[in-house]
Amino acid sequence: MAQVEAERGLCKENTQPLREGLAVTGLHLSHQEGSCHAAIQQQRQAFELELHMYTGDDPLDIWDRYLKWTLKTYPQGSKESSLTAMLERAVQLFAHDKKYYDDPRYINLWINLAQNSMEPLEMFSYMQDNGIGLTRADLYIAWAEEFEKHGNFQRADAIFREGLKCRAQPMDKLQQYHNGFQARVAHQAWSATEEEPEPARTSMVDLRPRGRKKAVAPVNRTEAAGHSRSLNLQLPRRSARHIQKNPILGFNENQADSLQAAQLKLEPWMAPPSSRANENQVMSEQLADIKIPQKSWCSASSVTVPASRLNFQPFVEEGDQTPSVSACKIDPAVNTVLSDRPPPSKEESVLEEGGGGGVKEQSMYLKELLLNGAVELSIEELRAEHYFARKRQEIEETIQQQSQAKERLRQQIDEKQRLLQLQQSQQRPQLSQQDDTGTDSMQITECRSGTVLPSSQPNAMAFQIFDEGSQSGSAHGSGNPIPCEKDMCPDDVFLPAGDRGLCFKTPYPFPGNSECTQVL
Amino acid sequence: MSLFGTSTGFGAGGFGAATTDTHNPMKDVEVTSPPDDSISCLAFSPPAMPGNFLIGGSWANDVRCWEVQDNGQTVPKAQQMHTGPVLDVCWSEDGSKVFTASCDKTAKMWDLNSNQAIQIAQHDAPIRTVHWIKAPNYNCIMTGSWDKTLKFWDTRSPNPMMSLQLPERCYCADVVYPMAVVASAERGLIVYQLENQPSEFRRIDSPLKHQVTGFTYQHRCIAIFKDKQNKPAGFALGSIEGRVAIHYINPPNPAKDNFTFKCHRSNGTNTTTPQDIYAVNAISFHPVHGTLATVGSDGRFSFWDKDARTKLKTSEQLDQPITACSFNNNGNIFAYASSYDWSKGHEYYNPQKKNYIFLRNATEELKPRNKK
Repeated sequence: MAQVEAERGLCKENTQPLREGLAVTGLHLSHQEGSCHAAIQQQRQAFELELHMYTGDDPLDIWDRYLKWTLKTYPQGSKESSLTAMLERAVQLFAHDKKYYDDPRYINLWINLAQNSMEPLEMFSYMQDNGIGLTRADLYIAWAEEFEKHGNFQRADAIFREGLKCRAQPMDKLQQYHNGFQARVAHQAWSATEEEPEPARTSMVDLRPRGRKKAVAPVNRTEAAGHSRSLNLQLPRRSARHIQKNPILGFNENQADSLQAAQLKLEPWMAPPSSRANENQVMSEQLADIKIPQKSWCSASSVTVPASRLNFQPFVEEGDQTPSVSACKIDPAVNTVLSDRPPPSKEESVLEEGGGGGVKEQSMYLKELLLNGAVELSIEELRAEHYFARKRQEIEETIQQQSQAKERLRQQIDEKQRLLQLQQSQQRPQLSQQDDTGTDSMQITECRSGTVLPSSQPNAMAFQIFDEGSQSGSAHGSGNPIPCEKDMCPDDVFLPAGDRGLCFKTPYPFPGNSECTQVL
Repeated sequence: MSLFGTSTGFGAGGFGAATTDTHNPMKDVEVTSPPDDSISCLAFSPPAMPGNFLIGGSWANDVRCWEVQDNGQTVPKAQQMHTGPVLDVCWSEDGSKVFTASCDKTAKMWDLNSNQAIQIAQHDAPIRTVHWIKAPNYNCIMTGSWDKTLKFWDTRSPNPMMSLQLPERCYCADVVYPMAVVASAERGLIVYQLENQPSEFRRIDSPLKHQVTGFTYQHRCIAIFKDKQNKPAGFALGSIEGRVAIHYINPPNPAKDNFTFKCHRSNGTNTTTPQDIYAVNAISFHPVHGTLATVGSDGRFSFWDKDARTKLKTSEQLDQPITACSFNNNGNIFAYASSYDWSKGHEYYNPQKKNYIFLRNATEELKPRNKK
C-alpha cells in the first residue's frame, strides 16, 4: 500500500496522497486557485460559523466534516489550509472526555495531526499511553506505516502485532495491512535492503538538526512555525535536546486540572509532543529547573477558572521585576531599573513590581467564545460573525415571507381562474353581445382584495387576455386593438401594467391565447 | 447638517436616572447624538484644519462627524453609512477627507466638503484598519483586513498600488511616517518602512509572550510613539489580558528599554479573590507629551508615562467598557467612548443601552512625571 502511494505521489508531485484516494473535484479545485479561492473561503467560514454556533450533542461531527473538507480542498497540504492548527484545536477540545478516545472520528483527527506533525512517532506513542485509539485498527496501521517510512520494520511489525493482540477493530483490516506489510518486507529483504537499527535510534533518521543553537527549518507542510501555539512542553526523554518553550497550558494558563495521562513505560508524558517546530528554543537549562505542574491538556471549553494556580512564579511577577521581555533570557536576578525608583507617592503608583507570588487571575472575557472554532478569533471577529449570521437570517426571513405572499397570490389566481371557467361555461351562449367598454361589476380591480365573485350578468364584459405586446389588455378594456375571439372573455385578474405595479400573467388554458407566464 | 436619529444624550443623569448611575462618573462632557450601537473607533481632525472635528465609527454601520467647539459643546455635523459595521476611521493630513473601513469589505473616502463618500478599497474580508500615508513621493491609504492582506490604495484607482501578504488576519495597525506596524492574529507583529514605497522591515517576536510558559496574549491594539526628535521610535501593544508592551525598534539596550506592564485589572492588592483581567481596547499617545492613554474592557481609562514607567491616573469605573479613544491634534482633548465591546459575547449585549462618547480636558493630567 505504501508503495502504491509512493508511486502515486511521484506522479502527482504537488498532491499528497490520501488513504481513501483523492477526490477528483478536490484536485480540480486545487488547480484553479484564483477562481475558487473565494468559494473556499466561504466554505471555510461556513464551517467556522457552524462550530461557533453549534449547540447539539455531537460537535465532533462538525470537526470530522471540516477535516474531510480541508483534506479534499487542499490536497497539496498548503499553508492556507491551516490543517495543523485546526487539528490541534480539535484534539484539545475533546481531550478531557474519554468517551471520545474510542471514537473513530476523534482518532482520525489525531492520526492526521500526527501525520502532519514533526514527530509522528511520538504522537502515536502519546496516543497509546493515554489510551486514545487503542481499540481501533487505524491507529496501529498509521503508526506502523510511520515506522515503515523510517525503515524500521521491526517496530512496525511489533505495532501490528500489538494491535492484533488488543483486538483492534476492524480486525480484518488490520490483518490485511499487516499481511501487506509483511509482503513488502519480504520483498525488500529479498532485494537485499538493509534494515535500520533498533528503534532507539529511529529519531536519528531525521536529518534535522536539534538543539537550541541550531536553526530549525520547519518541514511541516502546513502552517509556518514561529509563534507559540506549539503543544509541547518537555519531553523527559529528550530533555537536553528538544525542550520547547511552550508548556501545555493551551490558552487557559489558569487552569490546573489534573493530567489525565496514564502511567507508562518510561516516564509520564507532561504533554503531547509538539506538532511543529518552534523557532524560539529557550535555554533548556534554565527551564529544566522550573517545575511545571502536570496540566490537563487544556479543556478550552470551560468558562470559569478553578481556584488552584500555577505553583511557580508566573511571568507576571518576574517580568515586572526585570525589564527584559522581548529578548529571551530569563534573568530573575536582575532588578536594576525599578529598584532605582523612589517609592511611589500616594497619588500615583509605580507600574506594578509584582504583587507577590501566586496572584490568581481571572480573565474577564469569554475565552471559549474565541477558542471554540479551529481558529482563534478576536472579539471583533466574533461580533462580526454574529452580525453576518443575523443578517443572513433576516434575508432568509424576507425571502420566506415573500414566497409565502407569492403562494397566497397564486392561490387567489387559481381560484379566480376556476370561477372564470365556471362563469364562461355558463355564459358562453351569450357572449355575442360583448361590449368592450362594459364596466360591469365583473371587473375586479384588485387582485388582492380577496375573493370577488363574478356577478351573473348576462351581458358579460369583454375579458381580454393580457398580452405583453398590448397596451390595453385590461379588463376595463377600452379600445382594444387586439382581436378578441368571441368565445374568450377578458380576465378580471389581469391588470394593466401600471395598476398597482402588479402584473400577473398566468398560463391560460384558453385556445388561441398568447402564452403568458406568471410574473410577480 | 443633519441631526442623527432621536438620541439626545445630553447631560449626565439627565434622564432621571437612578442616583447610582455610573455612566459618566468622571463628569466629562457628553457628545450629543452618539451612535446607536457600539463605537469602534474615534479620530480627531488633523492640525491643518482649524477647530476640532471628531469622527466616530460604530457597529450601527454609520460614521458620524461632530464639531467640538471651544466651550466644549458638540454639534453633530454629518453622517455616512456603510453596509456593514464600521471598524476604523482616519483623516487625511489636510483634514478634507475621512477614510472609513467596514465589515462590508470596503473602505470609503468621505469628502467632508461635499458630503459625498465613494468606495476606494476592496478586500475579501472585513477591513479592520485604515490609515492615511503621506510620503514625500506618494500618498496612499493603507488597509489591513481579515483576509490576511495589507493593501495600499491610491484613491483614484480601483486596484491597489501594492498588496502585501500578512501572516494572519490583521488585528490592529498604526502609521507614523516612515514607519508602520501591523499586529495580526496568532501573535504576528510586523514593522514596515514606508520610504519610497512600503516594504516589510522586520518581523518581531511578540513582546507579549509569557516568559516562562511562552504563551502569548492576543494582540488587540497598537500605537506608535515618537522620540524626542519627533521620529517614530517604537510602539505600545495592548493585549486581550490586561497587559501592554512597550517596544522600541532600535533601542540601545533592548533588555532594559523594552518592558511590559499590567493594566486594567481589578482587586490588585487582594490576593484572596482572583484578580479580574480585562482587555485593553485601545491605546493613544498624547501628541505633545508622549504619555499614553489606555482604555479597557473594565470601563476605565488610565494615563501612563512610559519613560518614567509610572501610572499617572486611573479613572473611576464606568458602567460599560470603554471601546475607543483619541486625542485631538494639540492634546487638549481626550475623547473616549463607552459602549459594549462584546468581550462577553452576545448574551451581555443590550441593544437598549445607550452608547456615549465623552470629552475630557487633557492638558494637565497627561504631563509627564519629572524624572528623578
